[in-house]
Amino acid sequence: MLFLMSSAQTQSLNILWQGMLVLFIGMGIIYLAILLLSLVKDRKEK
Amino acid sequence: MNVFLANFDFLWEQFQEFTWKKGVMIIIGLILIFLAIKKKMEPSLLLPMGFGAILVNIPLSGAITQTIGDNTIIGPIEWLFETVIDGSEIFPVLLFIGIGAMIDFGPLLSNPKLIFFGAAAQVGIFLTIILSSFLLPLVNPSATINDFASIGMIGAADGPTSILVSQVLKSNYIGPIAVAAYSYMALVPIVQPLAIKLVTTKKERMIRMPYNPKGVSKTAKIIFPIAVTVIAGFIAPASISLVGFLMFGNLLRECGVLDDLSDTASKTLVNLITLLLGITVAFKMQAEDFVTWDTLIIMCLGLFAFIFDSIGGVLFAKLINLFTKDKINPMVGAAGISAFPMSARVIQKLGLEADPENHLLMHAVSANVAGQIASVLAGGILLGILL
Repeated sequence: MLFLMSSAQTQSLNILWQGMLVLFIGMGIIYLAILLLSLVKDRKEK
Repeated sequence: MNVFLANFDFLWEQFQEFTWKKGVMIIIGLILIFLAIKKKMEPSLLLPMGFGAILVNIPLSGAITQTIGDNTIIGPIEWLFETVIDGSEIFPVLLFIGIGAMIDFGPLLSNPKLIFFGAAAQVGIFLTIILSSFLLPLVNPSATINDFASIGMIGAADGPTSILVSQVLKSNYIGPIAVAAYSYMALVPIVQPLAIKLVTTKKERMIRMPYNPKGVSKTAKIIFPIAVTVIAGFIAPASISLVGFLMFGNLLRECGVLDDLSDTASKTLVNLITLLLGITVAFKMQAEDFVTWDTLIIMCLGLFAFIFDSIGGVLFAKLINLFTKDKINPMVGAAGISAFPMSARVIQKLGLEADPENHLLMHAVSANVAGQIASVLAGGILLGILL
């Protein structure tokens, strides 16, 4: 099946896994940043 | 008599320029105006786009640049397009300042695990790119991967991002993409319930989620937009023009010392840019480029992207539920698309429909603002891969 696909179609398949992987990694790092930010308190809250 | 009529030859020449395709475009313009006024569907964009579609399709329209003999008459809509979209992509980027100033990331900061639904609900973008690569070449063999990616971005449910990505990738389909993106955003209350009900049972839609928000400090809210900008910059540098301006607008909102600027960005700036963006994008709605089979396929692909974004979010929530004790209502996953705040409202409504005591709004808002970040990040990632 794969060898019947055009280069653009193969590239679009690559974009699917690359894009979703990088997107989840990015959102995961933002998630970790938010967890760190939850430790930040305003001065008057201390 | 004939000599007298010869004085009006120029009128006949203008009528001869009128084609059935231009007629179709004028009707499409009228439909967009009707939907904006009568159905209140994204009126701030569909109305200028509709009127712009009429302006650019009148034969020998002065709204677009015309060369008559040796004279070139600059058309204002063409000049706007070449200057602020083709030349600099500045309109969509400026719009993001206003959008950032409108968004409260507080619900997401107090319930951060929902951030992953923002990512999951972008799967429609990538699936649509694949589908485009199979369907579009049937009518346009010269279509490129940049065109497929631009069409996929309709699934971002985020008009400015779709326009910006298609422009940076130099796609020829910016007109149909903008129309599809904004039309389907307006149709979120119709499209999403259908997609969600397709993949959920009533029992799943009845799942209640307690809302116990953690307090979020003002300092955290100020650091958040800066942190996201830096992270996005390292993950997908091409996304900085999108994420950076979105987060700059949010910083204006949260810093607490620039309330006037924040207010201006979220109201006046957004209104001004939206007004001009709609009528500027209409430049790409000229009949010869728009009335094609390609456009019809793009509209279908856009619908596919929206449906599979919603389904992707729902299925991801179901997957998470297999491993966790505190179940997530799968509908919240569908709110991970970027259409803010319509999508969150749709989920709240569906939750109440399944169980009158089931309030999902704040969870849906968290996923929805996560979708806002994820959609621009996805746009940047696509640019990073393809440029």
